[in-house]
Amino acid sequence: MNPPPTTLSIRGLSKRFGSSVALDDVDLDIPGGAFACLIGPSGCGKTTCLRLLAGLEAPSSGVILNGGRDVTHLPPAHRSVGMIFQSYALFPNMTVSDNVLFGMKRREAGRLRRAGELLDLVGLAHLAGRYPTQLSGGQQQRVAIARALGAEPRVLLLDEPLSALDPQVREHLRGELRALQRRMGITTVMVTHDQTEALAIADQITVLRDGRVEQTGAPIELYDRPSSAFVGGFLGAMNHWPGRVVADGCIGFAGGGVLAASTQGWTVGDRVSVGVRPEGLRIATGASRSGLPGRVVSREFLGPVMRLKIMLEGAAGHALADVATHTCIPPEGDMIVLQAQPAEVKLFPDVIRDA
Amino acid sequence: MSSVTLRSGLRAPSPIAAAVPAGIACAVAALVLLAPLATLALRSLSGPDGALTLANYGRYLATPTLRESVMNTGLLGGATTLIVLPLAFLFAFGIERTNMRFKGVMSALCLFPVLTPSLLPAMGLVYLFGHQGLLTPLLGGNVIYGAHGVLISEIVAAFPHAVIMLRAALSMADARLYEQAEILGAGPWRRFRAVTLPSVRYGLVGAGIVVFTRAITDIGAPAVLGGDFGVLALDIYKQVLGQQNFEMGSVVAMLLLAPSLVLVGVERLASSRQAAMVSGKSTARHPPRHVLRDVAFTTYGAAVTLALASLLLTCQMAALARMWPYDLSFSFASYDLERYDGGWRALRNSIGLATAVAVSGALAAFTGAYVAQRTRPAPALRGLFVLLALLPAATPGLALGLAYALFFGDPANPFHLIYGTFAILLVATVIHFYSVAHLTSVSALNALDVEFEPAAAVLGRGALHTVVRVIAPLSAVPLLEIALYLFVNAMTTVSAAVFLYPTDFKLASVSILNMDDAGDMAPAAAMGMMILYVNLGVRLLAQGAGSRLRHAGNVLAAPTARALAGPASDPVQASGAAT
Repeated sequence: MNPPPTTLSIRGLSKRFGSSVALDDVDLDIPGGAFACLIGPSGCGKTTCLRLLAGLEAPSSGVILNGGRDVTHLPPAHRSVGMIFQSYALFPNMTVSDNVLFGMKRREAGRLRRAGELLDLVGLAHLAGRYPTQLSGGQQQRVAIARALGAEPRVLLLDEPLSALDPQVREHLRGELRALQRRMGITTVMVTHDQTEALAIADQITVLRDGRVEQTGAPIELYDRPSSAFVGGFLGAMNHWPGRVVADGCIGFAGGGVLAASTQGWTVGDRVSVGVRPEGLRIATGASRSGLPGRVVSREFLGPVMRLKIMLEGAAGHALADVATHTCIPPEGDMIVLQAQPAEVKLFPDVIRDA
Repeated sequence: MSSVTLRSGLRAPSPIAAAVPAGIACAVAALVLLAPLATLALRSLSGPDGALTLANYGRYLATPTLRESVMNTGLLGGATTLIVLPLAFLFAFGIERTNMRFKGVMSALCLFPVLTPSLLPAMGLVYLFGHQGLLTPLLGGNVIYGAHGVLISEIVAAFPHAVIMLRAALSMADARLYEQAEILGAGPWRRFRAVTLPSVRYGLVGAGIVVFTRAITDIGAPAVLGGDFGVLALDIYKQVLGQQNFEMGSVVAMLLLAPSLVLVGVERLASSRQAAMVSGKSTARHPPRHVLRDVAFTTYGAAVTLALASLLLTCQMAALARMWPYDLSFSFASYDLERYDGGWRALRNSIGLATAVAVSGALAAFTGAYVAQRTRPAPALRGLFVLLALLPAATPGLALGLAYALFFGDPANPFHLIYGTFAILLVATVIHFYSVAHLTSVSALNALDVEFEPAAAVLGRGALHTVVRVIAPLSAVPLLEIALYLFVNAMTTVSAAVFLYPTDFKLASVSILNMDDAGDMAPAAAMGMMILYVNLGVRLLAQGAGSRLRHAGNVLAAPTARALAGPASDPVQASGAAT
């Protein structure tokens, strides 16, 4: 039942609406069977990219290859893609099984049997006669998946499929979605604006910004080695401070603080944007220690960690630092020094967006 | 290219292909609306030698009786509006905001004038207060004929329309605002001024405009009760059918068209603002108990209902009396309609026309709305079509009918062959009531998920398949409501049809006008009541079918027509400015 997974490739894909550029010269390769996420702030072009892949929009230029076949100018029905929409777009006047049958040709032999198999696959065979409005959000999503799989797609496209759900249901469903995708082994592209979701579910994440690819890679790669301050700040929390390379392996800050970092590729005197994740910061007490001095201004209890907000000395900005909950946590008002392993201190050339 | 577009749904086609459906819609609208109206305008400007001139307008204004008609029409419209608005507001407020008793019965009975030609309440007044009226002796030598009679009749005819629109506005109360005002210490009067009035402001404007437009374009009441009280609508009728003076008729029609155009424009603006005033989060408000207020409103409502119902009841009794008011013994003589203009055939013809208008009009409006809302035409083309779709609401029926007669009556017109046939009557009636049908379709279509078509396209299903299997079934209830609205209006309309009906195809509503003209009032009343009963029967049938549709399976009960009347009304009743 499962067709062999196909590689999806995009070359130089652009889309302009009038004078505005939604997608600008995007290159992307998604390996066969992989779960890829397109992520970025609203207006970054991620949904446009998905609609181009589906054939719902025609690109201004560029090529889309599905398993090596050029599908750029094919209508949606001839691209071997299935798509799950944000609203699921289940037809409310049809039963679950009629929805699944919708895309199958009337003459197709064994279509009823196949619809039954698909509903079995998503675990909804017992609800075949129900109407979509009688189902929960998660069940609706599974109907949408079964319907999309009915056309035996080689690629599955998901447009923010989890955004309409409660946070708890969402977490549960993304696990289910992932498991189902693994079982089917189908190349999948999901658009989301939720970085936690992307990190949790994807084999490969592509961060888009203003219609351009900012970075593509495995989740852990993007998290640990973001290529820009933007990616670092978009995936997970990250502190950003302006700094300057004061010596080899040493960054200086406006308030007099210093942090050790790998300055390979930079020369002394360069202005840099410094990024450190809250969990990469350690708190030291005692004014004589080297690092970034500051004062604790507030504390936020997040469960496993306490997140401290620290006002840096010399009006150099704020810092967020995570401290394990059951350790010694400095009270509000305390003077502390922030320190970090050199590996945790990232240097970027780009402008800081969110401090 | 266009076939590819159809098959693949919303796949971005070339801009040219995307423009095809909307382009066709605009072209059709230009043929059935713009061209006739342009012909009308040109005719009003054409001199004896065919040159363009304002001489007709000059001559019109130089004729004292005609000049007086302009005054009379304006005064009639203004007075009707000023009187109907407070009366209708009180009634609507009673139903929506108090615990008035017998709400269902009273609101149903008050809607009866909507289901009849406007001539019927006027005839009821004649039967009660005319020369031989039952209650005329109580008037001390006065009779109902003249300005005051026309005014009362217009008030009766416009009242239910205003009630529908104001109920819609009042039903949208956001309970949270009242609770907040109460917590902040505002008393009932302050709450009324600070919360209620602002929230219905646009509804009041809209209702006022609809009432005014109806009053100035109505021909029924002035024809029955006017006496020497001339109005523009009657002047068109007299100039064209009486004197065969098409130029002067066109001048009057243009004079009537101009204010309607302006007012309906304002009304559209008002209703779009109104829609924006209630957020999706509004919570329903339940009126608190208040004995004195509830009793007062029940009394008022009962008085109004009684007054309206008695007019119609009088018509029915007069139709069944041997010789009203002298011999009130029972007789079916007036129902021997074959002896009069049109006969029973006229009623059958009207039902036939109304059915055809309902079916084809609902399909046309739904198709037009679908093209505008869901085929992604170029914004400029879409804007043009929306404007054209709303133009009929601003076009008085008499002006439309005359425009059609002039445009299609011209033997040089390639479409001349429909002139004097059932087809022109059908097209004119559909166009006459198109705007409300269009707006209702638009709100029904906008309630559907925009992702239906792309989802179907990805599944390999084209636009047509999706419309048949998904869009149309989900719109069944609003489609039914549109068909009902068109049916009722086609049954009662006189204005557009009076210039267009084929000589061998008399219509019931027109035959009432003719019978009344000929002095055969009792059969006219009998026919009028028959129209009411047909409409009532069809309405009940449609309501039954509608509630079965709503409950059947899980067909979403798409929000009922918001149309001209705004939310919580249905288009059957919200006949808007179309007269």
